[in-house]
Amino acid sequence: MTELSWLGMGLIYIILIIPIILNRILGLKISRNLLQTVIHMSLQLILIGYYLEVLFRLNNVWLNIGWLLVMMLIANITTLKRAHLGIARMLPGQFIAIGISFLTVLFYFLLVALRLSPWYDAAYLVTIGGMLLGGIMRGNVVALERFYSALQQRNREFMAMQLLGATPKEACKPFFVESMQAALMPHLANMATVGIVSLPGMMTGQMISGGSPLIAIRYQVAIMVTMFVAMELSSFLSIKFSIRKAFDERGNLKTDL
Amino acid sequence: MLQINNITVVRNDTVLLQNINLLLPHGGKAVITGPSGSGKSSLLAVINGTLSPLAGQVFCNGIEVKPENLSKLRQFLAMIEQEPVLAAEKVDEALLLPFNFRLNSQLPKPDRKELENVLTEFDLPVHILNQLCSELSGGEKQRIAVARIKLLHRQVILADEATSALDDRYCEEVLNYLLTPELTVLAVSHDPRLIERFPVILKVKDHTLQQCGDRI
Repeated sequence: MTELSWLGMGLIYIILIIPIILNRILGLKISRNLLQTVIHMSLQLILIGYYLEVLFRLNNVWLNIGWLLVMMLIANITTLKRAHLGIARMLPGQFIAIGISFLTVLFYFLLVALRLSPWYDAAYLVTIGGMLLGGIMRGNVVALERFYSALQQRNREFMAMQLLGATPKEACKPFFVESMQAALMPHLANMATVGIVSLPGMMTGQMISGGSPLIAIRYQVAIMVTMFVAMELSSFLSIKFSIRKAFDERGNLKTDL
Repeated sequence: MLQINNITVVRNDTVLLQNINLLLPHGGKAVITGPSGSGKSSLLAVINGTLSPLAGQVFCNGIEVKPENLSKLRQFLAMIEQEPVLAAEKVDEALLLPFNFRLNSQLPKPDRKELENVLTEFDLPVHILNQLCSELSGGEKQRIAVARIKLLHRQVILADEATSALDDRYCEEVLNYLLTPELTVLAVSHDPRLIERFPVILKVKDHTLQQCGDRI
């Protein structure tokens, strides 16, 4: 196995000179932002790297569960922020929605498929958990954002259905279906092309560190399928739980979401 | 029956209408005119329950308009807007849409024959049933929206500029429906073709409703 040294990682930064020169020629003012982001990302990952080293070494059940909860909380807050929804109002429902879908699917993967022992092994719990949460977050942002922006833009349609006798819930249905579709289609497309167009990070990582491609693909299949299940379940529950807080008693979409 | 008692309508902190009183008996028809922005549409929103009034009460067929009564209310109240929203892809789906809602589940779902009859009544060709709603003209959309309300057998109709965008011929068909004796209709309109056929004409002036001509 060939290892990427710290020096090697440092050498990677030099190649940033290409976009910086190109930005200058084009008058594209993103170089400062690019450098800041690269520094931010590097520091964040270095910290996480050391943190995970410790986490893996201690492999303490409470520490691992605690970290899982922190990851869930950050995923929740990020989702609500990106979907432009009020954190104070929506967080409890979202936390439960993501919690149910994430934990069900994660532990099905770890305990039924992988038969992990001990069940809280950080190297699996945190890594696979992180991948699933990333997918859930991407899906939920699209689902919630689409749902509420469609309700705002097509509010007359929503109100017209209510005046024809629909409850707010019934009048939401077409918007619900559309936003779920928007959230899930990218992952479906991704599943169809995986391995041919691009090798996913997890597979690549396993193979670089000497793993057999045949083991890597088994993980990849498992991750792809569980991620789809988690994404569909969580976007469904997230919208469902958010609906309870989204309308006033007269069926109007609240303006301060 | 529609009864409005001392209603005050406020939108964006501005008083639009103050102490409005109105009694429309079963089968009564009245039209409200007045400058745009004077609160006519907001009054309809108060009656259909989507806007809460600052003060006063509205009763519709004896039921008070308030949040907990909205589903009861919408079993007999309907709204026709100037630019109707059909909320479906195809025309037949649009006509049948309300029958999917639980509130309307006790109504018999109209069969093909019934759909064709109601289309003919509004001078629409039968083959329009398979057309996409997005391909319809404004006049066609409006008549389909009205036909849909007719299929639901609603008794109290709020009509917001329901005929303003229609040609004379189609305006006549919608008017004929609105003037059905058993319907109670409160219209908001600038359309002289509608105003001259309505027995009671009310005008918004100085935040109140004033009766212009009573031709009953």
